[in-house]
Amino acid sequence: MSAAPPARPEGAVSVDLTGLSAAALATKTLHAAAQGHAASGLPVIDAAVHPRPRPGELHRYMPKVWQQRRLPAGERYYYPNPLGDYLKDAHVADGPPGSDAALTARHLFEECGVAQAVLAPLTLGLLPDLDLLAVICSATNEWLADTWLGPHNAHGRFKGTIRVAPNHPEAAVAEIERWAGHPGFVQIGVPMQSMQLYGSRVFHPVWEAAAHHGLPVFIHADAETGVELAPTTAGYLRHFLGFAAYQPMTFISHLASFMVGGVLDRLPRLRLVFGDGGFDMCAPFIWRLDKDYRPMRGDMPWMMRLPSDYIAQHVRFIAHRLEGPEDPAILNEWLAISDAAETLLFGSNYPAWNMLHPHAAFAGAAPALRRRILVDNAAALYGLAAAPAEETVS
Amino acid sequence: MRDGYVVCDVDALAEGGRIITRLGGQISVGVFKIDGQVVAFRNYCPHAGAPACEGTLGGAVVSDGGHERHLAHDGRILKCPWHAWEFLLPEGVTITRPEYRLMRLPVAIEDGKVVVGSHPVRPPRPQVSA
Repeated sequence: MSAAPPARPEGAVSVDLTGLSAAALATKTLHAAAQGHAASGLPVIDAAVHPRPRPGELHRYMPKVWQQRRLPAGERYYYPNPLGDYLKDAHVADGPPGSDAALTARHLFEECGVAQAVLAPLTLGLLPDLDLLAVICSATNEWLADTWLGPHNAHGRFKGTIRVAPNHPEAAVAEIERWAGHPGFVQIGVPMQSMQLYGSRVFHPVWEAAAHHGLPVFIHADAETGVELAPTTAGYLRHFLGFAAYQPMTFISHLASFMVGGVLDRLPRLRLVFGDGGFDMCAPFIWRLDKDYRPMRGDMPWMMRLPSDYIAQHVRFIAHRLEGPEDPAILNEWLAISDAAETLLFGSNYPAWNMLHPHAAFAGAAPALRRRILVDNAAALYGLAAAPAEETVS
Repeated sequence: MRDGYVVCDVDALAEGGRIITRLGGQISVGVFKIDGQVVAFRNYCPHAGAPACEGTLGGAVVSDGGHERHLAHDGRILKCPWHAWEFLLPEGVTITRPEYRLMRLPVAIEDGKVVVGSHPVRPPRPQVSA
């Protein structure tokens, strides 16, 4: 007979092994993110805002048979960010950062000069249970349509993202078909993390459905609470800094895969939006692909164009922080070299700790170029009207 | 042809054959017989200046847009020896970007001889399909 465990002393306080709470760690404020810059005066379209359900809210949109299923916590548990994961101002008492639609609207529309915001909820990472991830995506879409795109959207400034589980193509296509006709949804969203590169044939039905409905495919790092491959091809970087800096390489890998897999040749209407960095790495990588494309072309005869020829037609990057040189003397040269006027969209990544404030975003760029990045490129991609600046800037 | 150079007897050039020579001992050219037509190009790749006419002649692997592949233009694809740019003959254009082309030279058959001029001709851009 084993001894009973010792009784817990009355009033004992449990030890939180995670240390300080994310809210206590957060130091960056919305004001600080503006870095002293004034409003741009532009009707900014923020192409990357991440709302989240309040606790228990998502379950209400899941079929009853799934409602008892325990879900991942939704926060990355390895590589904890030493600064917390969110803006200080975004923490609220009754839910995670990004769960308060009114607060988000006040921050973005009143304090940041944003005219319209594309909402891209995350879906707890790449879960090994394909059916569970598909159910979470489906519930997330219904929740978004029912709340942030419903009663919380009386102003009409929120647009939405149809979340799908690409590793379950049948469910993903069904979800696209379910929501494609909803006027609030302007794109589909998939995790950056994947067990296979996205040019693989297994994903083709998903991209085909997106292209058929003219919906761009938004690819974004997704919570990192699921199963996923090591962040580098040689294993794990030791700290958050290396992890965060290296992570956008995955977008470049997906991009190369879309090209050599022939996806962009077969789907001329497909638009890809890499939502979480990588723009600064794209141009040098494309130069590298271009150089050896011709001698290697016969290996992938379905790829009939130089890699660089696909970018303007098919690819957009969201710059949620200033990527490239900060020196204003060479900023515009860099943006020209990397074809930012065609391919770069502004996205704040609100409420994340590294939010790019629209006041500070590309403040040193030439005015016409800045307008393309902050307004026009997103308006063209999503078919949004660019609202006059005087109606949107507080 | 005025200012032309005699390269060889016309009978010396078999179907699918080629002659690499220098016009006047200076300008390197490649003379090919493709589909019964004799064509000549400067032996100079528009990409990096390689002696493109000395590359292999074969076919190109192409696709109809699915995942199948097949060989097309067999015997008409000249592959540059340096970087494998593929030129479709007799047009001399690259199969992926027809605006990149070999510099084509005028050819005449005179008294059973192949005569090649040194001033390039600029034919209209052909439509190249995979």
